[in-house]
Amino acid sequence: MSQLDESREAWASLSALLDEGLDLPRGDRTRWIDSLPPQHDAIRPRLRRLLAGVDSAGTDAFLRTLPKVDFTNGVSGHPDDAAPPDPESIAPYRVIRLLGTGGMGAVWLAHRTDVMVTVQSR
Amino acid sequence: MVSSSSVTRLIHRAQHGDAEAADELYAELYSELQKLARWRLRARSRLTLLDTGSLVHESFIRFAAAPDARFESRVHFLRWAAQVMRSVIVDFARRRSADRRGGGLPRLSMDDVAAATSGGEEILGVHEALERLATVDARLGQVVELRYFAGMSEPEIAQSLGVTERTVRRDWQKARLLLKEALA
Repeated sequence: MSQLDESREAWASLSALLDEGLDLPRGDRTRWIDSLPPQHDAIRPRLRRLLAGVDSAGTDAFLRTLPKVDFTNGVSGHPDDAAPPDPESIAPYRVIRLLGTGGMGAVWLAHRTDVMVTVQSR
Repeated sequence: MVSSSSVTRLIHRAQHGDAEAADELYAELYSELQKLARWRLRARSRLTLLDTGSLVHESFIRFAAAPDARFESRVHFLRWAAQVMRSVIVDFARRRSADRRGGGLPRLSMDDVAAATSGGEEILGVHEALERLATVDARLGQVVELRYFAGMSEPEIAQSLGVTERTVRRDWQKARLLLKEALA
């Protein structure tokens, strides 16, 4: 199994297969992969994995935008210039989304990263 | 800032393999885009694709608006500017993670909440994976660079690379599959 370290020739072959597979309706891809001639035996599992990652509904956020990252330390601006950033994590909690704001602050839905439970954190 | 016509000349020379011109062009664009990014960050503290896209366009307008402007190669400019925008963002992210390494245990102030963001690591991860992707398929690498780091639209990317929009969409699809695999 190789990841981004294949030869150009190997990539050209995989790329052509991906093109062919991506042109097919999602439901036909498995049968198509299974029916590929034996010369593609080695690449078959990877092809299956790669095509399984296709986001045909357009809902996958992967690489859709730059991640939220606060660069404030990289600039010498006055702190008041910047709005408080949305947290991505608070100590062991990975923030999922803002549930609401009120007099006491903001309530975030968060996921604890060291134990597998979802809690509300404020 | 050098004038737009000398930027045009630099792009022309760099595209014909003049390494010195490429370095000069890079340095020129880097300082311009970094300055624009700092101004933007002062107001907003974080960059989105909307920001990086508009910064790249702004830098073009600034170079092109010079008195002796004769900027015929906007699409070539965007390609160079996207490459430089990527460096500016990656350098910001590197500095960000260097700042964090100095700190002790996390505390729960708002500053630390901001410092705990993992976005910088994603940027550095994509940057490194993209370097490998570019050796396998240079155009896929450029599509990701133009789209993810420079916030360019599909028509702009198509124009800049001299391919159809359909090709850009397909390249993007394949690049995402490979990067998803590499970053998993």
